Amino acid sequence: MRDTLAKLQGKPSVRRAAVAAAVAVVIVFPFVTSRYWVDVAFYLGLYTLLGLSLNVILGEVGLFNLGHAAFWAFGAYTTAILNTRFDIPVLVLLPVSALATAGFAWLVTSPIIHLRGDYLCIVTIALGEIVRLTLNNDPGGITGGPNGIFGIDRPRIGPLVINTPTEFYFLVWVIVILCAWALLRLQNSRIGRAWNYIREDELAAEAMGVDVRSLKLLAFILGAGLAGVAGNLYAAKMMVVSPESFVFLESTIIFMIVLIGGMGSVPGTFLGALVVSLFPELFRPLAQYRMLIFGAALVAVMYFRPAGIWPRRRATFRSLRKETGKA
Amino acid sequence: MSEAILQVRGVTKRFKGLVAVRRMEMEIAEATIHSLIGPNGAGKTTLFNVISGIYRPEEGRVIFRGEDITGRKPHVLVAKGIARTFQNLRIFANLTCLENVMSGQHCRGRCGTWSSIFRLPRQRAEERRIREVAEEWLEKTGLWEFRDELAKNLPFGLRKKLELARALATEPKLLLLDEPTTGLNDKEKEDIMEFIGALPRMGITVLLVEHNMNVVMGISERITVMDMGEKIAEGTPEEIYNDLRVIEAYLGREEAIA
Repeated sequence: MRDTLAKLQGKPSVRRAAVAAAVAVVIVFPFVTSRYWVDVAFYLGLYTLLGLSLNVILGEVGLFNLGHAAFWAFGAYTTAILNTRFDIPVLVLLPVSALATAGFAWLVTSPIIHLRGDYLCIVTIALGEIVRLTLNNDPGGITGGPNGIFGIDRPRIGPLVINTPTEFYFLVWVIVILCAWALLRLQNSRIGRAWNYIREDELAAEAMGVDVRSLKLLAFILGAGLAGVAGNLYAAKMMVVSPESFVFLESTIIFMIVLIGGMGSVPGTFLGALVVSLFPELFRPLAQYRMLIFGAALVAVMYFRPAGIWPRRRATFRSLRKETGKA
Repeated sequence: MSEAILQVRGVTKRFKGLVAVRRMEMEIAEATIHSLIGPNGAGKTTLFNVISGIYRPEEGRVIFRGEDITGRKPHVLVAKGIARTFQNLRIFANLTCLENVMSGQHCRGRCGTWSSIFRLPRQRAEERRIREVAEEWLEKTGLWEFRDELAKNLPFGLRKKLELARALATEPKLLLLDEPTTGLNDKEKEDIMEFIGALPRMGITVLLVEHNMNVVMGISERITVMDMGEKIAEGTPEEIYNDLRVIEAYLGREEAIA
């Protein structure tokens, strides 16, 4: 069965059909389901975006970042603070949050970027906790402490207000699809390959002329920037942000999305997010047992498909030639 | 004798009091094969890592094509034209052979994040060039039919060749090879040495590190012998073969062990 799956994945026609079907489902979905499921699908989109953003860092470069919620929180708080204090429109804050979070990532990861494997992992866990505790401690009275920040505005474009679940649903999914497109293009480029070289063998990558330090930083900056976008969307949807939304468990969930889907695989990240956000919903009737079953299912996935549900397929000679053309 | 492409001037490298390389002097002539031999632990690989930028020496300088490159980072040196292979194979196991060899061209490219996302014309042209250079070396090393195969699925001998192809794809002026024949059978050894022997004709200078003296005798123009971190002899293969100090310090000891 594994071979059949792999073969199907490899066929361009199958891949095209899968993408077309997925896009069709995304467009039709809110008109055939209830408000409740549209809301669930919004969070699915949000987690897909977070998964894609961590996939750059963890999946492509192999940097164990278990503090990704810190970047998400930074984006959300940037939006919350600038919107409530200075009345800057939420949509304007979308790129602002992305850039601010990217800058924050550059600042905090520069000194730790040389750490490898588990060491980096531990420091990023600490980073996640430091950010959450700082928000909780309300430095200078700007983060609102444990209560967080209330009264964040809705995104507006002229007279159009993004307000209903359906509108939010489309906002997040348009951004998710754009990001997926950009990241797929990056994968088969000089930058994407260099990231993979680093993941495979850092010393060899350096010896082949890859500026390891800069490219690792680039991955963190890019990944954090996307997490900042997710933070902005989250703040706009909830209209309130508080530290308890960005606990360590969130970082773990995003980490799982990438692992379950397949490291460095964009379609895998979609599937990973689907599994992680849908499973607890589907098994809601089982009440307190659902997390137990969820855990068992995760173990099963990692046991039967250790490379993830939809592992990354390497580009073939043929596909590369098709992309760049013959001389 | 042609111009020296690489000069090692009084290089000393210590590890916490242990002197791995002591006041080393060496000159490598352009478009030749120069071998660095010596028993295990002589300091060959340390010197090699100093030249390729992995270690910074405590004393001395490394001069490449008239430029002081002491302590420059490996990725900078690759761009300047110094490529290397590793003693214990370091290929990118989960990537295809083509992707492995394409890594060599990374340092020749300039395109970044945005031009890659939007596939600007110059990015496409660059990608094409990267791919074509990689294809060329895959063909020359006989790995063409394995281009889409993951590197980890290749047999050992071919993985060695893949590493060589990858280093050559950086378009080096100087190629540093750390024991390229280790672990190969006689046929593969002959094959790879013949390939290496042809490199100077393409204008590539080779510095070959070996502890097996017989491997380098046939193809080296000059040989430097190291023992206990110091240079003990240098000359043509014939001179080295007849050098009493070499026989004593190197061959003599190996015989004593055997």
